[in-house]
Amino acid sequence: MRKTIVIGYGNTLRRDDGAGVAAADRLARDRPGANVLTSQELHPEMAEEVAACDLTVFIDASVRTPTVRVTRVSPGDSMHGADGHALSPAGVLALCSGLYGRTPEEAMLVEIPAFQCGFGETMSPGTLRMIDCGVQLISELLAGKDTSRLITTVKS
Amino acid sequence: MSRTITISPVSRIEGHAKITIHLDERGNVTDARFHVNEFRGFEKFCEGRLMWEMGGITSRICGICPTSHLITSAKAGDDILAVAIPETAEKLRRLITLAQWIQSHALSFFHLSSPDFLLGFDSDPATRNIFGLITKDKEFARRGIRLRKFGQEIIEVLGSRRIHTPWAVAGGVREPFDAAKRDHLLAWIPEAKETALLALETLKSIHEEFAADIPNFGSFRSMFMGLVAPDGALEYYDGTLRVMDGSGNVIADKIDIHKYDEYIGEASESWSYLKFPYYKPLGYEKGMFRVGPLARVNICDYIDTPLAEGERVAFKAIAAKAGAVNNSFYYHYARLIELLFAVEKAEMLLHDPVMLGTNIRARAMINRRLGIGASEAPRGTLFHRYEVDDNGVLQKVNLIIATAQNNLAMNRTVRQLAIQYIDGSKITEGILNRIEAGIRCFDPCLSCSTHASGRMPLHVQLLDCEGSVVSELRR
Repeated sequence: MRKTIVIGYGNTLRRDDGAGVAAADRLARDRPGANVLTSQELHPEMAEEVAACDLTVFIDASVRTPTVRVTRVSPGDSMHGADGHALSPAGVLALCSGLYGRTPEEAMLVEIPAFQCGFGETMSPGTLRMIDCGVQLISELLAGKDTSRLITTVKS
Repeated sequence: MSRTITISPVSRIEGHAKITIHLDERGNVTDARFHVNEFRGFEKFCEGRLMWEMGGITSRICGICPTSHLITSAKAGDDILAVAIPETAEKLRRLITLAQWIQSHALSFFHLSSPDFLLGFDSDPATRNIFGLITKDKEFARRGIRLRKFGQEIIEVLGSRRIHTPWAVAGGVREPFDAAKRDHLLAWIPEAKETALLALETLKSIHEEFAADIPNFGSFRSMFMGLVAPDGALEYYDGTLRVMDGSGNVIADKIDIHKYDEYIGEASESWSYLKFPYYKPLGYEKGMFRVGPLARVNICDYIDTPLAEGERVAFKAIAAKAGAVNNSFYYHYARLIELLFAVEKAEMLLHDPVMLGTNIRARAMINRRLGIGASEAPRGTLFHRYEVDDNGVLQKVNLIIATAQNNLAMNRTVRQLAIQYIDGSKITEGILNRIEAGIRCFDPCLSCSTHASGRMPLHVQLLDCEGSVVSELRR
């Protein structure tokens, strides 16, 4: 069985920006025993745990996509954010590779559309609907179903 | 024609800033300024909120040291409630404060500053970062990341999440500790201690290599300020204020934190959003003081953990004649002494059975209209001052942040480095990096100190005497 980690991140006080955290919380509720982490942002310290997994799913909110978007992530060569700020999924994988000599066989970034990112803890109806879609999709991914049709781009 | 050099943004620090270096007609440095160009205004928009919310709100000032704001806010809240919190709650708060030191000091050394030390000030900037460090010494980088993780682990175990935990509240803390959590954290201690010692040995080993540079890194006399315990020991959570001059003389001691505004004034300059706190009895600028690791290790009489105390004695020997260690480069050394102390002290606290008590919160109504909290954040003394009405609604808020208290000294450091390294004709990347490294000695957190948002890139400008930009470098 593949060792999996799901990491939902974002600012839950900026409305839809917390979509990644909300989706991860939902997955943790729906799938007891799943290895799910939530955080305001990605940290270099996550690299150790990610490196030990076969599949990593990052979930973030995005204002750049109108629908749920899945991209395959590979290690980046940028240190951007490795000083503790705004580390990207590719940056986490680069740290996995550099520090531990391995990366997950498969790493995905699931982006959930964000429409309203003002101050507040309530999400817009559009993002709430997209969280449902995202959770459904990630559940399929975790269940080992073929989701290749969903993957739009490769990101590094 | 005089000129000005601008370094913008300043890199590997927390927040946004730029440096301008002013040159005269001959190309000699006449002035240098560290400008902080971000603004957030927490003090203003917190007015009208309930006192109870302040821990949650002010911890959002920063993603690096939210716990320091949380604890200081809770202490201001204790003051408003007029309660003495249960012993267990105080010790748990102490533990999370140490955890904050561990994660922040580890970040400062391993992620932000050690690339300069291990790869060199003049090394390729493209690899002078954590990835360059991984290439140079993977195990060192790995250990640094794990040490920071240990600090975050303590915060997560106590507060349920690594950043922005709402765990501490006015009157105590929300959740108790238990034996399983204690044992989990104790298992980390040997590795954490070993890494803290490794960091110290690594830093001390480069002191000789950087002997030519070190005297230029903010070497000047200033006062030092911080909290000390009643018996003069290094303090991090409570205590009274002590002020020492650059010759090691204690010039003010046992100052109740409620009287901080009799000793600390706040000035402003038109060219920076970061305030300029000063020691009031000496007036603005002359009253320049430093806070944070260099100040704390200078002013305390001793450290009550054995390994850190041994290092403190060695640290003080650096400036036995001067009476105080005045060179800002030694912030790094002091920071690592504190890192070791924090690990040792955390171990002591974890063995204390009081930590497992269940009486963790004193409950009361609003009993005072004014509350002041102070604690030692990683970068220095942090003050929260709240004025409330009878319902606990905030009428006025003042936050005095450690980084701001170092503002005069950071500017002086930048000036000293500019005078030493810039001849007016050309700025090399290595020179730029040395100036940035001067700022990094202080490990400034500009998001906190301006209550502002964002990263801290560096921007350096070289201006002529008429203010025109002659040369510019951004990172």
